[in-house]
Amino acid sequence: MTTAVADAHEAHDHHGPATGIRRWLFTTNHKDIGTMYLVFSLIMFFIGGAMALVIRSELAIPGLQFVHPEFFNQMTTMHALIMVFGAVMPAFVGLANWMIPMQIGGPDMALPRMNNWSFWILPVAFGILLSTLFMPGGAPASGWTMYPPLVLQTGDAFPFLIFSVHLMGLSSIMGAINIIVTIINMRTPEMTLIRMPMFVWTWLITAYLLLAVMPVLAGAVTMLLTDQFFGTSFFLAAGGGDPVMFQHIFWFFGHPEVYIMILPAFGVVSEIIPTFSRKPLFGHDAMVYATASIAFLSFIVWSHHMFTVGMPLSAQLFFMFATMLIAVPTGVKVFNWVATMWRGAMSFETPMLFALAFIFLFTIGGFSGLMLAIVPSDIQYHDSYFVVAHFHYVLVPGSIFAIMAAAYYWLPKWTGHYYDETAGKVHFWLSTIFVNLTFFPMHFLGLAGMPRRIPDYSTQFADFNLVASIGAMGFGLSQLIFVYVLLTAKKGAQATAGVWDGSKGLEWTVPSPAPYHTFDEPVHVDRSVAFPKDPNV
Amino acid sequence: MSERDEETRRRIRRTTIILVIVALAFYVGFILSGVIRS
Repeated sequence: MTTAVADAHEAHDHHGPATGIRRWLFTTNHKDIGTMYLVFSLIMFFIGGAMALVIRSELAIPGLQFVHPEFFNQMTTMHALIMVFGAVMPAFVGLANWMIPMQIGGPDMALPRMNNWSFWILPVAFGILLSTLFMPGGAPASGWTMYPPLVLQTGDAFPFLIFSVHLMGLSSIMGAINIIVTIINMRTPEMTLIRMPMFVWTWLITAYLLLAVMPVLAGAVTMLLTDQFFGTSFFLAAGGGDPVMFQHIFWFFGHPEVYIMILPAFGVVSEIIPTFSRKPLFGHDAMVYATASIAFLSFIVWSHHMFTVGMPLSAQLFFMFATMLIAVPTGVKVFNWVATMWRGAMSFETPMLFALAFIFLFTIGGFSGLMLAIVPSDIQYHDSYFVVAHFHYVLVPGSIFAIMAAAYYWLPKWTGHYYDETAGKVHFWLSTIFVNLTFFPMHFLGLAGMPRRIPDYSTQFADFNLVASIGAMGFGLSQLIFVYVLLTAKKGAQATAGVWDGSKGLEWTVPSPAPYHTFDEPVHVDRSVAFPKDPNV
Repeated sequence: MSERDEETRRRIRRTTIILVIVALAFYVGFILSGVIRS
């Protein structure tokens, strides 16, 4: 199966990477492209994080301090767009590029040239989006949801926003196609679908979600574009259009998008917990079915974002119960992670610490999600800081902690050296303390009635806002430790092939650092490299 | 190139084309649904 690529490489005498800028511009190597995705997402993480700090600085005390309300709205919009499409999604695609071929025993991604394109579209897209900050009228300020008619009041930035979202979508769709084609066609012959590691499984399901919903977002923003410039009235009430239809279409994309950002995180945690518990993953097959169930349910819950817009009682009931149903497969996952650790010989290196914090803190985000799913409660919580607390618990100690866990987990495999474990642990503890200091008080603010997306507030909200702002500054500064860990990543002791004591799987059979080309020939899977599902192969 | 390699390439091409068609169908389908409703 994998000899096709091996033959092609033989013609070039197993060349290594090109040198200089050409290596990065023209590379088709999955490891190079994975590295570029990860570096890009880190840069976007800091740009989006700086915008978050502008928001939290303004909100630290009541009154208007630093920025105009218009610019504040631009910051909330840009922060969300950059973090969702520029930081979290590319980080997981980077991890997929690095690890999926190595975990399935394939030589590279199935469509390497398209892989290069998928990445290089992204800097262009975000260059365009960031350039809107300097345009007349400023950057988009209508929120990442881009609801009409508000978004149609955007100044010169509007067509640039639409174009950049199209480019981001194109990049994601191409990436998703590549991942599906790779997993379907490039596995080493002995690896059946059900035996695949959980990270590969979660990414396969995520890629199908991406393929189904990114074109929907593209369709929605195309219609916005024609409403603005070509005289159509898809969403303009004055012309007979329906603005609420945009909300339905957007959230048909938007809710699966949430799972696009969390399913690969489930995969990462499902890799790390068994390694540091020195036990195979409990209920591998159940985890696969739970992931698929979550993905399916994500398509039939979108209107829970719109309960206050108004809909028939039967629709409210359907979307409420369908949403609450997601807790069942998610509960299966949390149970299985805990059961994996049960009576395991656990150790607590940095990746494990981040994975454990993920389980605990993501579950808090899940519980507040259940509260929001209940229609009568949601009418109280809607558009309040409770919602902000909820989705930040899911995305920061959820998705971003999983990305951090993955980076620490696979960093020795990428660099060939152990990172600074002490610095990693300091990074973990500071991040965990400050992330809770930032987002937990927001629950109380929301329950007390503080609306989201405002630059000023009543004085009764002052104390919790100050705490949240101090937490945000601390969290932002803590991430500089991660940069230190990355900059010194090659200075540690030489890593072994297996890196971790309990590691299992094909990626741990190649030397550290992983060679530029791996698995040119189909590999045999024996007891020593057993997959997480089969400890007794 | 062996027959097996050729078969892999064929399968990669076939899977890619199917997925591209699916993506385009979702894109065009949702715009058409907007056209029909408006």
